[in-house]
Amino acid sequence: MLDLSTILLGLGDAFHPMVLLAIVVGVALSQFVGALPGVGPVMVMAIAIPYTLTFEPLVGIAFLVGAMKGGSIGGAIPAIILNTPGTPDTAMTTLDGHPMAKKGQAKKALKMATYSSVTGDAVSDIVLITVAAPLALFALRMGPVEIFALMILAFAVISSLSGRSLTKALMAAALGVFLSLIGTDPDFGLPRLVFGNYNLFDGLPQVPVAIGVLVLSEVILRLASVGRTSRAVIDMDASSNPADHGLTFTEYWACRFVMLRGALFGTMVGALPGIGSTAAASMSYISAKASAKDSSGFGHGDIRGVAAVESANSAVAGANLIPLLALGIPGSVTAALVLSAFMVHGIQPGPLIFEGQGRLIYGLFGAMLVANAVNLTLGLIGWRVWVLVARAPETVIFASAIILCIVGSTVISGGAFGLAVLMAFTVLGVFMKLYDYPVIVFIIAFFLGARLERSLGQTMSLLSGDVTNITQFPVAVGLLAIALTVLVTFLYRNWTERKGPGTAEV
Amino acid sequence: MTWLIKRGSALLVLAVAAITIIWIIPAQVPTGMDGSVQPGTMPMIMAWLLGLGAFFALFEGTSKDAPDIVLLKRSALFLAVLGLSLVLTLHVGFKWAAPVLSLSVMLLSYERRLAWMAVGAGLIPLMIWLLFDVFLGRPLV
Repeated sequence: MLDLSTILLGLGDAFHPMVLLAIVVGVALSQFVGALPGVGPVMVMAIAIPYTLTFEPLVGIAFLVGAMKGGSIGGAIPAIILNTPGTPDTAMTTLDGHPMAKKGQAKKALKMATYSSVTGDAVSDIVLITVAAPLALFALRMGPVEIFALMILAFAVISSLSGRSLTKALMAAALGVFLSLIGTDPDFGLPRLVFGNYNLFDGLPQVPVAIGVLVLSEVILRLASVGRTSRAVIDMDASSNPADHGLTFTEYWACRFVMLRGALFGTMVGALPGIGSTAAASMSYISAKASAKDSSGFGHGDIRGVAAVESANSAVAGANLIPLLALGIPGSVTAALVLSAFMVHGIQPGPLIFEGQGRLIYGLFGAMLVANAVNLTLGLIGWRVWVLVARAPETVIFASAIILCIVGSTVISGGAFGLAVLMAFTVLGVFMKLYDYPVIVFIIAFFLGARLERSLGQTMSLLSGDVTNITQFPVAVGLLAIALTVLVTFLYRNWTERKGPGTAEV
Repeated sequence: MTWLIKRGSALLVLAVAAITIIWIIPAQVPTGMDGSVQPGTMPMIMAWLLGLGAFFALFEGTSKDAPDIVLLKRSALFLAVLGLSLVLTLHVGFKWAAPVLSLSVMLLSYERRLAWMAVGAGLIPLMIWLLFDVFLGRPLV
């Protein structure tokens, strides 16, 4: 048990000028980079790791924590203004954020994204600080069978994002999972669907796939529809109503339950290694939509949609550190980068870290809380700059976005292979959007597919090939029951909406 | 003809799924010796789901199924420019290919103002190249 003086000393360390500077630089860089379509905060962290060696451990780690947090706010900016998510985490922000921007409510959407992101992040940080160890132990009890059931739940939730055609959503999900299976088989270690190309042994690189399908395809389609009259990328003054440009406390407070639920989804999913923020954001969005008295605005510019997604995807970042600090297991790429920063300083995260490095850990917790405040402050300043940028002609914005997508893909995946994947998935994204296939469903399925197969293999081994043995795993049974309820409810709603006048769409 | 355009995507996906099931999976997926889930199980399930979905989509029509032909043609044009630019990037490097790509895209999207063209095809690619290639030491191909 740590004594109070160690905790207070650690929290005090977070206010050291160098630590504060590192947080501000990390958040600012990450928000800026996150707002550039195709270039994400992971790149900032990866590039910065060698430089953090030259600083004190807390200074270097505080920089990475700042960079980890800044990305989600930055990523929401192009998602709202351009309909191109800055990071894959913010893909679902486009569902309501961009329709709001088209209605002249871009500033309101940007403010809501900033506030809900920081709210979700703060809730998850508080959970991390207070119950990291017990929550990590609970996460550890979530074995392959429970993870598999959670994956099934995630896929059941995704079905609710199907839009106009359930058939096309099924096809998009099947294609996403199929393409995620390219590479080495998890059970046997045998390469499959690689066509003799060794680059494919590790599977398709996620970054060029996400950039191609989500960002570059949207840019191509927007360029293809540009007319001869010059215009800005989004008309910030489309609405003359002053209420559309600001966010009141009443509007923020009205979304408190949506944000709290999003934060809890994000924290739970983040505490489980390897699932990621996309699943948390989709669960939060669907849950917000299902529990709304009037859900007809979702998908057409409902502020609750922005709040649900942003609170959930930001909560994942802090919660990813729960298994990292308590068990030494990184829950995501960003957590793995933080782990590597720990390790270059000779610190091994795990159950004993609170005893051996208590002051550093509480310094990290303090830095996380400070980073939230910095994230909010810079976020509220930063979007004003991007609103000015968005007033430039769309031809210039989109041409620059294409270049940034190429840079992002090249830097992260490297060389000809990364560019070939980028091109192939841009073509696929354009095709899917032209023919109204839900790309969001595709990308979520792609991110979760390989994990689903791995969990299935482990589950079947644990159940000795007999599905009825699942009754020995009550948590998994509960999750599967929820998944079934979600699916049946969705199918029933879909059926009644199609029968009724005026078919609904997401 | 209209039926063909509206159902074009479903027909194409159906063909891809059939080729995948009949040829690609048998040829490209090895068989494991012993285990709970064979390497081909999940790919085969997904390919069948894709094929079945495409089959049902043939009979499910909405007005959004037929894309605007002009948009289709212009999208193909921009995709061709992007493809050629990526090939150019691999041969001459980012710093020469990026301005060409940017300028082509702006000209094709009817941008004719010299100042904005200078910003889009000159200043921005230069700044990106300086930031990544020079300052951060991350070569851009």
